[in-house]
Amino acid sequence: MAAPESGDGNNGAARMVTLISSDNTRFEVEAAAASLSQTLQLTILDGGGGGGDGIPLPNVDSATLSKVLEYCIKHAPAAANGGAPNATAVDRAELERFDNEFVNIDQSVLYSLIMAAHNLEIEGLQSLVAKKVADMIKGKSPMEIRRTLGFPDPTPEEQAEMNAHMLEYGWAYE
Amino acid sequence: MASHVSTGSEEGEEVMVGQSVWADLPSELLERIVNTLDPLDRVAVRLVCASWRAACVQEFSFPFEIPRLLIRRPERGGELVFFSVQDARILPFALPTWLRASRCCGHVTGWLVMAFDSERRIKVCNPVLCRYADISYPPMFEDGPFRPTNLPWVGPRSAGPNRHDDRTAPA
Repeated sequence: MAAPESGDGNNGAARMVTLISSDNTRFEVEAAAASLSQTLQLTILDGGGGGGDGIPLPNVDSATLSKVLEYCIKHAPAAANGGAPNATAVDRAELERFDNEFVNIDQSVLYSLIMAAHNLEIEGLQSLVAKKVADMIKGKSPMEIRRTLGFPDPTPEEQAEMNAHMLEYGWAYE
Repeated sequence: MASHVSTGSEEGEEVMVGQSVWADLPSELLERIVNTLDPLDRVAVRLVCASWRAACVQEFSFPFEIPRLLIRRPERGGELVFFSVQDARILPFALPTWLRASRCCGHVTGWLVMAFDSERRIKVCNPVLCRYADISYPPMFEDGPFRPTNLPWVGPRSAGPNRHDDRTAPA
């Protein structure tokens, strides 16, 4: 393992940190990628996560963490360039293509992902998933939104409440 | 790439019965989602479930971009609906039934000022937030009902033989 860098997290190409998911899976990842998380960045700047220690993440399971890290690794180089003012159009298009593909997943995975991004304070990932969920909601009726996001069919009481609110809001579906 | 150094035991996913995990989305995240939506979609979000309704308390403007008209539909009991000038269509958003007896006499940032002429009452209404408030009278008016005789837009209860609102729907 490379010697720890004094580390502004900008070019820690060689420095690796270990993250431990809630189900005890260990992930070794470049410090620069992990530092996309504001939460982890602080720990990493303090020199944590190296060697055998690892940073435990009790709120994130391994499936979600591996997905989160996939995002971080892809976005780390651009983030290191400070928003990549000198990135080529090709690079940006490639990131955009990656992002679109990345969130093309089941809504339950999206939920785990946005919660993890929230807990780890990964701004870009929170926005990306929020945007995707918003796209899934757009133009739909409340019932369609419920179906899209895996809500069960409403109980008669819930249905009555929904109807009352729709009436109250003047919401009309022809 | 991230590599698995060692693998722990896989835990079974907890299955939520009776509700979607999305119902418990922290309001901060829901707000993030809602902020990118058009006002009409925001109204739909509020109607999804009780917890989302409680979380979406942020004010926002009307569900449709201007130019839009508030029009009365005599063929549907005087229903007040929005008409999009841009799309030349009636939008699927009507004002609550009890507002039919009123007319709109102004609006400010998403709030409509609705006058109930027959009762000499003015309410400010935000139909998107479902919030309504009375405006108290200036002291200069006398008490007692004000009965306009030839205002075509006055609600169905007040008298007047040739009123616009009394048109019945075609059979």
